Amino acid sequence: MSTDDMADEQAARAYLERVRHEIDDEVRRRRAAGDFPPSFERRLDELFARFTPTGSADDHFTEALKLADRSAYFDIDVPIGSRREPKGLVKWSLWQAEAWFVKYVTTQVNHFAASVMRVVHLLDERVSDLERDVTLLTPPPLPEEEVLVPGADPAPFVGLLRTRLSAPGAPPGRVLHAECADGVLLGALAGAGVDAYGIDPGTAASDRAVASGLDVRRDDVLGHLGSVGDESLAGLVLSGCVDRMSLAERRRMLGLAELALAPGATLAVIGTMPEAWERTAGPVAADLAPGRPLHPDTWAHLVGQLGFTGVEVSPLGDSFAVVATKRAADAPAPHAGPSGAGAASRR
Amino acid sequence: MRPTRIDQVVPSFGGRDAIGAHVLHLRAVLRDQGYESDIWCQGAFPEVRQQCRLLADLPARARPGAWWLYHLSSGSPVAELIRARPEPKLLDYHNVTPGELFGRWVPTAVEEADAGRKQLDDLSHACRFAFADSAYNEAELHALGCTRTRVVPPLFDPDALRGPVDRQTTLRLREERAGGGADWLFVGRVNPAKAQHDLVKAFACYRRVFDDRARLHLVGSWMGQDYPRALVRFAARLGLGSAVHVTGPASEAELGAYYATADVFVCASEHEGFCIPVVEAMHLGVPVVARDATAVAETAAGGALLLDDMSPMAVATAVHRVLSDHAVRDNLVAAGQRRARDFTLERGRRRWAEAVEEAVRSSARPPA
Repeated sequence: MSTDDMADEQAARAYLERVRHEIDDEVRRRRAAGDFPPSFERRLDELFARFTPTGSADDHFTEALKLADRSAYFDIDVPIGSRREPKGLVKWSLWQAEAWFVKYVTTQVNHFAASVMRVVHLLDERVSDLERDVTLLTPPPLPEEEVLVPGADPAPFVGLLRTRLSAPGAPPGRVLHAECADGVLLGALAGAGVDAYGIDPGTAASDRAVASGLDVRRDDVLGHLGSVGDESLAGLVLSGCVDRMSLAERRRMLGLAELALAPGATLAVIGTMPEAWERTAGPVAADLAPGRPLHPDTWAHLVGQLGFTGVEVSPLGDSFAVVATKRAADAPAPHAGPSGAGAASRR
Repeated sequence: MRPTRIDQVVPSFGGRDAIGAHVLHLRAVLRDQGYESDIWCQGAFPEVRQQCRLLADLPARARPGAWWLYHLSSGSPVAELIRARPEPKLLDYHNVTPGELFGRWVPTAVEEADAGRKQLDDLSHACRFAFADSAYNEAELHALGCTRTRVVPPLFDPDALRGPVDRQTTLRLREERAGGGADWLFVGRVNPAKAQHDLVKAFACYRRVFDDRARLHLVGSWMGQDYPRALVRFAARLGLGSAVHVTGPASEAELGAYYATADVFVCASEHEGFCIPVVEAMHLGVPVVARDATAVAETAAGGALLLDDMSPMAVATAVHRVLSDHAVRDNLVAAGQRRARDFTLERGRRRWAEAVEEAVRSSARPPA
């Protein structure tokens, strides 16, 4: 850096430092004048705290308690500054006249708030003790390694997919399998000469897939599809999560899939037959799951709504595959359903 | 002995992220220096798959004359794989965001960050030389006992954003601007370490006190789902649903449109090892207001208004001052553009060419 550049940088830093001090002064002045009510900033903190994840009941409660502690003190000194001098004088005079009464009331309110907070802390201790003794009923964790392969033998599905991928008008590029678990189907695709990679949110499953030499990374389906470039995939196989997602998540997933697939690319949804899922999931897991499998006809309807063509349903034992092709760029746009299934966007 | 080949390794190779772009530029520098050079990765995004080789194809035996250059920004099994290889190794440290900043929002990121810190410790001793994006990153390497280091900012091309901008995005942004109000912009992955929630709070204050028609654009890919969705819900509850846009990832042309229409770039990030978007904003003449945290002050070097007090009202007041006081704005833009000239792609390539030669020279013998 030249001497001139260094001098310029120092001058810029000094200037901005001065501006920063002026801004600090302005904030102090406006706070004193009551332009910036502290209650508004506090409300912002409180509101955002409501959206924070509740990792555990205790974490959330402790956070809420801290917030309540901060809010349980009322300031006796009211802001008396004003941008106009006579107003400031009026505020000061009123404050002087009423100070004894305001202090009297505020002190009692503070005592009351402190007592309430003490009760809440005592309750917190008691609830914590209870939580230690009682096992809370929590929804059963979803098995990390769901069987994602369509039946015991993936060969028929691989054949079906290869035919689509090599059809005239099919674009070149990679095929993504989400969620691929330990990669049995992915391995079969790679073995059939398909340039495929996989994602899976499960640590153990994805590590096993990587150890067997497959291109697999740990990622969730929605996050990954949201990051993949537009129209960059030649094919997409969705499985696993398709059985347990909520309906809204499934629709978002299909919307993102439509964005990520190139014109003419192939989309395949491998799901479990609802009857088979009811039989194998068990009553508790079935009742508490956020979503339940859709029938193959429903998937076919949803992908058709998004404008996919050549929709084909293949039974695969207790599972099924719905395979479809994204319309070519010059094909007419589809008519989206009444709820706008075709209007998915990353934004 | 001088290597004949320097191969780069990155766990996941994407075309849109900062490290992906840096790795591609660096490969060109290495090849220009006369080295053979490839990019190896565990997984590649489809759009850049043809640009790289997969580690699954890596031969088990050592390759004579070949060195590795590993890019570390998070924990990955790839770091273990490279550490165990017999070839000499170089490290490019982009910093690892501390896991606690992701908190309960992205539990997997906490695990990866913790693993990354551990791998940094291991690799800093196993590598012959380490590059750091900033002096801030270099200090972390020194603290681990790694002494052969050099600060070299990442390679990126700020002029690429001056290219044709996305027409549709520009039209939409212009339409919104027609109704008046300032446009706030932040570019970066949507995650709690970047503290976009602090931006929403500051923006809410700004709308309430200074400009009730302003808009906030949060551009960047999502890390997980919980935090970005919470931001959207938070904004909606504040009545700002139509004023706060959490856009998701943007192409270069779309990003160019956002920078071209922004009135101010505001960064509340709690952890940055360098922060390329700050340089992009300065380069494109957008005034920058940022939290004075980690490496941001070093990157901005007098080209941005840095704040200690990140209370919402303080940030709102600072932005208002920048947007309403022409002298402050003009000074800030001029200082930013002056600073951004240090990061042109041409200068960056020269810096990296020198740095690689220094690393090769000083790595003639392995570390003690």
